[in-house]
Amino acid sequence: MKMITEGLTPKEIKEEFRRINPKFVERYERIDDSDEFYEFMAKPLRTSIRVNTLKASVEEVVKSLGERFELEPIPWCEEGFFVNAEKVGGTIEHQLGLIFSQEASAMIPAVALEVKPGMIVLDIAAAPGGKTTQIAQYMQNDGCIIANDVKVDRLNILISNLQRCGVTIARVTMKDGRFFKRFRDTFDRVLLDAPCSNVGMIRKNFKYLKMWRLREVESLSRLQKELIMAGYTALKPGGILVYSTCTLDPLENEEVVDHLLSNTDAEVLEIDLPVVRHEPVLEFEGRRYCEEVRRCLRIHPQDNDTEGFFVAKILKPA
Amino acid sequence: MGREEFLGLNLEFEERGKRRVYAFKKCPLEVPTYHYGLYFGTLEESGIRLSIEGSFLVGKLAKRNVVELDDEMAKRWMSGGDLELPVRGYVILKWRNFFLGCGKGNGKVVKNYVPKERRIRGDL
Repeated sequence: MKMITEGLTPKEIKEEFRRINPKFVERYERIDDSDEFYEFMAKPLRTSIRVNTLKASVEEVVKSLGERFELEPIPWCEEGFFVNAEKVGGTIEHQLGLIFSQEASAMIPAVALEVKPGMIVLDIAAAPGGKTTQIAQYMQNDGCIIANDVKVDRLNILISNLQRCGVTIARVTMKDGRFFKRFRDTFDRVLLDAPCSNVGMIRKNFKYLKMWRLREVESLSRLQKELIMAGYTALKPGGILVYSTCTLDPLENEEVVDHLLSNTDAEVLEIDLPVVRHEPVLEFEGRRYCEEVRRCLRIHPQDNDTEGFFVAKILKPA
Repeated sequence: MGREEFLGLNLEFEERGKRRVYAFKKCPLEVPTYHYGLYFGTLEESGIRLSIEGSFLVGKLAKRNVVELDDEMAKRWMSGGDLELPVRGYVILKWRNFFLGCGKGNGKVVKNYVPKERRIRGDL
């Protein structure tokens, strides 16, 4: 679904958003009502790729792609580049699995996870596999990744991407993420890139604006709280859990982290990456969140010209 | 097929339906698995026909049966075309430092096995 926003002022874009989904605008007036927010929400996303170092070095692939495209390094991911092309899906580098088409902000969770070769990692909502394949390359195909997703049609895309990227350490499972709470203190790392209301993806497709419902946000928030509790239970003491979403509603972000902090001994770690960020929300709809939530990474579209994104890095004390 | 120190790859290999061979690293954790393993290649009467990923695993270590392609030939191969090359048997195709899978030569032509979903359309 496309929307013609070219030449519109931010105020006019906001009204166009209101026409498509008035409840969305009403809600986001309390989250970010700036002109920049609407200006960037209407702007198409920049194409970005990640070099798959399981198959080739960054230098080799940059040299090859650089003959046809202009590449701009992504500051927070050594293997990531913005590309001056609408699509890279049909290139030989893509078809050989040398690159993975991945939104720039979506590269942050795997970087923050700090995996090492030999680790046992749980990726609770893995499909389509962008972050799983990124984790595999940081692990140098050594160790084990449990790559889980609940939906069978999404699993097939995940399997196809694991194949194209040459991942040999993944075990693909099809479970409700809450299943993994039975693996108490088992995983060195847990990634929960949670199912969310996808507001960050409105820049990719305006259907996400049309589909957005507050009731869905509330229901997702309940699910996310259960998933983060399950993921934390499955994490080894001393291990790191990364929670991420591509949405900006505090109910799906700070409130979920706050829920974990209020019910466990979890600690939030700083994410020390060169990323422009917004202050996390510490109070929303009369609820006050733990002070530690301040360490989370909240990215609005205008901060780095990316999708809106949220990342929390959690430590389970040893 | 079980464990094999095939070319020192340190991988397990397993044959499944249609004589397809999958490569994987063992996981110490018992989980109800939906899928595991990388499609490595297909066993045929005269040897194994490697997948693109199989050719990446083996290609860097292979001392022979590797054919280097120029841009034009790589483009034809990745578009699904056969290559006129005087080679016999299975060969790994290489373009720059990258591997493009495996083909089978009859002395005149190397037959293409690049799956449709991995082919390119148009230029490199």
